Amino acid sequence: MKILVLGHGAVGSVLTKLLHKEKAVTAVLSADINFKEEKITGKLHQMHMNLKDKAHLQEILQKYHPDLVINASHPSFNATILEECVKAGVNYMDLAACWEPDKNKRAVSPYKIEQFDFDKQFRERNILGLIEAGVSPGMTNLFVRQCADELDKLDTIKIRLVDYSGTNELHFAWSKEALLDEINSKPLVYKDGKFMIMEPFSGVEKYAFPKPFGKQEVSLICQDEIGTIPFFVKLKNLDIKDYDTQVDIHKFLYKLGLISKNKIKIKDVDVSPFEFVNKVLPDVSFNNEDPKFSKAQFAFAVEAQGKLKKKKRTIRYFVKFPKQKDINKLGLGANFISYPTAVSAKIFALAVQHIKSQGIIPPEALEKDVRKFIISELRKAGHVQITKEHW
Amino acid sequence: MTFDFVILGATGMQGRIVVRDLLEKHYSVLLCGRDKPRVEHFLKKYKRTAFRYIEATKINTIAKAIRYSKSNVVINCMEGDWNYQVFNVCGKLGVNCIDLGSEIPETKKQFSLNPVFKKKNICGITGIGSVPGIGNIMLHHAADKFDSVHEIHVGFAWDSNIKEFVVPFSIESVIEEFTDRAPIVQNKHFKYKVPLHTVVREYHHYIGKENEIFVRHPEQYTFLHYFGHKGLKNIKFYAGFPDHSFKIIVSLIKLGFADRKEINYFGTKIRPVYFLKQLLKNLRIPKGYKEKENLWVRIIGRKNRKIKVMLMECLVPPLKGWESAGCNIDTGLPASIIAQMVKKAIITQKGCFSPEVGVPTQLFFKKLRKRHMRVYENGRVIN
Repeated sequence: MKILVLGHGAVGSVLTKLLHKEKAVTAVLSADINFKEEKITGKLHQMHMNLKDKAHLQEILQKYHPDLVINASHPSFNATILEECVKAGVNYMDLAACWEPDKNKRAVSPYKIEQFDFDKQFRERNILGLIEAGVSPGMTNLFVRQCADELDKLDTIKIRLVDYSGTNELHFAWSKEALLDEINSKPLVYKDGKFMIMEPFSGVEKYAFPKPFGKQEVSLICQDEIGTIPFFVKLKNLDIKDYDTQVDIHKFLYKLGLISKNKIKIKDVDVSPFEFVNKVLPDVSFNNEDPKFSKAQFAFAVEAQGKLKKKKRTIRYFVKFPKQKDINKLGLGANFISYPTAVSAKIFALAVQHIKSQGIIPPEALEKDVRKFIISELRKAGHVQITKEHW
Repeated sequence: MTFDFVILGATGMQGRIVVRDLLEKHYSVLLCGRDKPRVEHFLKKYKRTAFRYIEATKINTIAKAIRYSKSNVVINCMEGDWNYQVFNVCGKLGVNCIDLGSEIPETKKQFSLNPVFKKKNICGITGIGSVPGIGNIMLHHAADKFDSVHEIHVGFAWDSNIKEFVVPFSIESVIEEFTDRAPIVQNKHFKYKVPLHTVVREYHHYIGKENEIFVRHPEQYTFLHYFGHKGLKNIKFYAGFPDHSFKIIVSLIKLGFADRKEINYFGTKIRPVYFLKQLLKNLRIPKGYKEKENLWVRIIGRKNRKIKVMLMECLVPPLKGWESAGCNIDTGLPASIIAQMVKKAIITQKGCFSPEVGVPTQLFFKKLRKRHMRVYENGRVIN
């Protein structure tokens, strides 16, 4: 399997290393704007690429004929890469959507998953576009499907994330721009079969996570899962809430208007606070080796409420990824967010060869045997714990 | 028309407090500033007032406005960086001047004009707000009860009923206070500390426990100037902020908003703090938001050969009708009180000084009480 990874940032760099270790992967092509020179080390091939240069991307696709292209850069490049994959007839995978408001008056959801615009073209070319295939979205979507299959009737899904960094100080464990965009975005919930836009940091409640996290305050966040799950899994209610040790600082950035996209006048220039603050804030500043982050950890719970044999049933999957100190031992230069995302993306990438479907599909639409393969691979990943409860 | 007072920086937060207090007491006031719309309501409501545009960088606009007013009392509420220049103009024009204080170098320069002011038989009082201001006058009151004064701790602590961030005073000044090295006087020598390395958690009556840091203030200089002869060796100035405000300010600093380096925003160079200042103008004060403050001075010295410690406090409650001004009332209102004392010749001392001297303490405290600010000496109300 020859895989082209576009973007060598917090996730892309770790994903490249993980893929490099896989026997099934014969070559990893890693392209990034910051690579100045072409470099080949074993089966790893690094090259310069500006994703704004479509012709260059097409040239690379034609030259190397990868089996899969993964967009590990900003989702704003999804459409460009999808377009070039159609032209070249190459399978595609990404980790998130742009998640822009849908201007189509007939749209069911207020936000649009732009990758679906390419579904027809992908089917016509008999290629696959596996979208939102990281950890959240990604693994969360897959476990939603798993829960749905285990119930006769699914009513409500609660996705609850744990972003425990071990400190309340601001740091960017992944793309600064993407995180700021996420904080700034109004969360979407699916309630009684309808999409509703909510206020950021609303819907505060205490959620009892399994140990070691216990009862923690969670609030709504804007996550891509809501954009696809209701279209592939029959359910009434779906919301995503997050327990984040940095929530206060995120709230402060939002409430002070520091990441607003409404321009203000400064020195007779219209300044977008979002763009300006993006320039002011430090880049990925999460220091993996800093002892204060040693207990940083990511986990998620997918809780499904429904009916089984005419009785009320709740199923909960809880997936816990390793602590930062354990991630450090792997020598990947990964952090508590980039590792779960990259390891999930790696598993999805390896699963592509088993997927029979074509067109644009999210993880909840994968075939049962593929999902089984993915979950078994996730169990095998270092220090990942999957627990299941029901009541 | 002859105005009773001329207020420079009348359109700013402190300026507007002074303007309102004086106009409500039926004085005629000339309002000088840049942003006329912010004081339009005063100009419409009160007849004995007018507006003059001034620009601090063009000192002749200030001189012209003072001459135009024919007033003999100037209240300077502009940023402290202009205090010396304004004193200089007032000295030349022969009019009394008071201001809200500045940094030590600026204060020193103002004190150097003492002979000029004395010769013209006028007074120039610098630092008459809360701290500096009320704090200095409380120290004056307390110091009279000591044979010798060895150590002074001075500061402020405040809190609000709604635990949301509101810009406490000029965000530029706030960030500078948190980042500029803070002087302390140790054994009569100035030493400098990084404010965020000095965080302590202290309890204050009326406020509770909160974080305090050393900040740069002119008191370290003026206290030593007036009480050095009484044996004063150590002075520390503490600024206390409630957690919900402290965290945000520290976060803003950590995030790079205190950085003096300009950011190139598509060809326009903008300092992060300037961006912040403009952005936070849009930050609304929550409905029902109220602030309270404790201004305090702890004096350690000797009386009759025995160690004596005295705590002076001025508790500032939210003042009905002034809620939108928050704690700033304890900076603007003392300036109004002192200006009136100068006008009525209650303050008779001439020359340039800060309010550790020349201000009748009991009368000043009485005026504070009229504005619901209580002064305590070791926990006992004295006004």
